[in-house]
Amino acid sequence: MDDEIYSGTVRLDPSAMLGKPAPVEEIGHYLVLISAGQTSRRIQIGETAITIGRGQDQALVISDTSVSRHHARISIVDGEVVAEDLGSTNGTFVNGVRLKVPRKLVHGAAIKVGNHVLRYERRSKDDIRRKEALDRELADASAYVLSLLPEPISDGPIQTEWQFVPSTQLGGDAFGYFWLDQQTFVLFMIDVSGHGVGAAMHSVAVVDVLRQRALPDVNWRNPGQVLASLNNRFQMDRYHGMLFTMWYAVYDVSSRTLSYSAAGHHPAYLLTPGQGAVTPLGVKAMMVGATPDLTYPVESAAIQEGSVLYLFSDGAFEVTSAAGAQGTLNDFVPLIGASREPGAESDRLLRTVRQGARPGPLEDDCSILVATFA
Amino acid sequence: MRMDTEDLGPRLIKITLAGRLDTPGVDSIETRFLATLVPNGNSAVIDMSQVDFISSMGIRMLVSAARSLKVRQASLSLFGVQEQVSQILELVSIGQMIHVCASEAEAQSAVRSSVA
Repeated sequence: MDDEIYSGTVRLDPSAMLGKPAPVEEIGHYLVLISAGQTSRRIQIGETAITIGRGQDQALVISDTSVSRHHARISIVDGEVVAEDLGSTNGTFVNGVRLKVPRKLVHGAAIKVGNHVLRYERRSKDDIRRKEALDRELADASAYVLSLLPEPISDGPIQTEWQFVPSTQLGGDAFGYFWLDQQTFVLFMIDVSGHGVGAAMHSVAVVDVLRQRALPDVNWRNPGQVLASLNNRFQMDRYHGMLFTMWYAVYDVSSRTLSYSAAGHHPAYLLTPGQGAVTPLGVKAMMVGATPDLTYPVESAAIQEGSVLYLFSDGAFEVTSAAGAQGTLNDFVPLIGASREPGAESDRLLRTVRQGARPGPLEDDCSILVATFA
Repeated sequence: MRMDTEDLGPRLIKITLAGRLDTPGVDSIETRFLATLVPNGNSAVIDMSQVDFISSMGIRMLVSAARSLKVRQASLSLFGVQEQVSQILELVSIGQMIHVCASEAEAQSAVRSSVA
């Protein structure tokens, strides 16, 4: 009877109707160590507890006197991740609350150990693998941008030193300098709006044009002409909506004159020996690519022996502090020339930027170029 | 980032922005911002009094809208710009493409006269 009823009927295996069961998503537990202004480190929490402390026998060693030798432990208990303090001097805090007893962590919890913050993440292992693959590609792109930057110059009429720290997403900073002839030195910095490989590719394209001097009928000694020509060449509607700021200067060794112009870029600053305050070298003009046929005014400054030029991107000052305050150019300028360390100024400034930043990698590319005139 | 819109008449819209016009802020409103203005060629007065930060991404969003509107004979005016934001807009000479006005009435007048 049943056979007749079902004759001609296709019987389906329930598992076939439902399709193959979806693979169970493999979940991992991770701690992300966030250090001020530095790239984060991700550590997987496994069956063995992660002990944290200053002691060399700890699974995660943090060499900082704010951290006790045996400070805290993170372990998995019944499938849940638990944090506990190990009697540390300065305490362990979860989301701002000091631990008195072990506490379960939820995704995103911030664990403060001394002056350091760890974030707990419960994520799919596939997510992590994709993220790591993307990070590797961004690191490759960063290395490529870095390879285009010029070597520091340690002798001659102009000495240079610089720092370039790409953000984790990679921004659009680039800079460079070159001799046009024996008497004429060019310096420039650009910052493409936005982040990611697209912004970096655009900055590379612009740097390439400058390196190859590939602007027809342009007097490279005239900053206004260079910017105007770049503006017409790199109109945003032809380059995926990209705009960039730029500061460009030409130094004439014989006359000791620096001619400069800018496109939406904040000023560079000149520190002249014997003068207390730095001098802003700025020009107010539209970013490159915004609209065609712009003109860029040219200004000039006399350069004395021992003068120092500071050129930096907005990533050096648009930094959020640990307290959440937004940094501005006015916060950064007083750092210029303060406690000056000849030959290591860019390094000193970068350290200061990092000290003032909230934990984690810098939000934007940070470029600092220091040129000293003999 | 918050964005509110209000019709002020034929092809004229008031947009109130609140928050930070940085990368996350722009990501959260850019599509809606451009869709509100560009396809219909609507001019806009933008209340910036609650915008306390603007990055190059924010400038890019405004410039991009202004460019697209220009070919549709429409324009943008900003008003109520906070001091810190004003300094940045001045640095990039935004006034070459977008009116920056002291009051809403002045902003409306500026876009109406540029469209007329």
